[in-house]
Amino acid sequence: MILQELTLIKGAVLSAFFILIISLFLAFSRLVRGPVLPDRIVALDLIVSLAVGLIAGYTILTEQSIFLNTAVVLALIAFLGTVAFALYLERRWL
Amino acid sequence: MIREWICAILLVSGALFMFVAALGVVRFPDLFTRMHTATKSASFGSVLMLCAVAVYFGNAWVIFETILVIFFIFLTTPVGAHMIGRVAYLLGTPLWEGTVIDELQDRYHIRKRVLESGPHDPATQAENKSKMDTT
Amino acid sequence: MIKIFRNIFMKPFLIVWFVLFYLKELFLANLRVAHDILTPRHRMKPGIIAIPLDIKSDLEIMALSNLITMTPGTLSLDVSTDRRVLYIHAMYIDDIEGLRRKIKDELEKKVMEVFG
Repeated sequence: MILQELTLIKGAVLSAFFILIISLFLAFSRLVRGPVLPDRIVALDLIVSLAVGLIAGYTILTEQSIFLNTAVVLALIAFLGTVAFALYLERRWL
Repeated sequence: MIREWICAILLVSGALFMFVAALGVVRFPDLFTRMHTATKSASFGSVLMLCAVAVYFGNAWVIFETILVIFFIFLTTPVGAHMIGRVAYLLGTPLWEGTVIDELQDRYHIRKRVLESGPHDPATQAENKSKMDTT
Repeated sequence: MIKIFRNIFMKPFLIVWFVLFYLKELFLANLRVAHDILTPRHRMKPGIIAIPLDIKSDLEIMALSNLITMTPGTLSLDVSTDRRVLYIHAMYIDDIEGLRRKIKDELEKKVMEVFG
């Protein structure tokens, strides 16, 4: 349904999705492989940024601007998660 | 028409910046250099894609919300990076072997919860300078 | 009197100029980091250096450290307990004193102008 008429915007969104999915795989490989826990936190943070980008693309693709609220919430949760992990590491090992 | 072109360019360049960030996170040798790319390029990429949303819809509420998200990202990304970097240094994460200088070495006193300022403290620098002048 | 005048009429311009400067620095930072990621050899010389601070208040230190994190190849790590030194991780250290002076002259002076 989305792909029936391929306009410029839809092509741009789909190619952006393609690039973002490749980057998701790269970030996920760092999440699995990361030698220490802070590496994994950095990779997780990057994955959430990529998800914000995916939501932005999806908002344009479906033309429903209400999805932008999800991006707000996701950015907030990413920040809280990062801070919580950092504080956890500090309390746990120091 | 021109608006669609601007929107498409912003979308694709934002995605490319995010790809650069992911590639850097995989390729760079130690945690701190990885954090450089993960903070700068990833936040810049998501900001570009959100700008594309604002350009595409172009009504006031969406633009306001986008500016809110962008402001929020710029405010929180450095704080998160600062906290992770600090705790990683405290845990003794190894630096890359090509690291030139480490002035943070032996400055932490973990038991006393103090980070001393060392030889670059402005007060001690002024003292040294006055000593040099008198001698 | 002159100070009040300056605060009322100059502050908005200073803030707008500061935001534009911030965006320019962010863009340049991204281009440089992207160049280093995409070329196959690592040309960087990373290291941790200390920057003596002249600014005192919490707000100014926060603004400066956020700005440092978002500009080319530098990342703020920690502030000493007595708030006189900021430790940063930099990616391209060719000349330590030059980098220190550059951060103090360019960024810290601007932060002082806007928030001071």
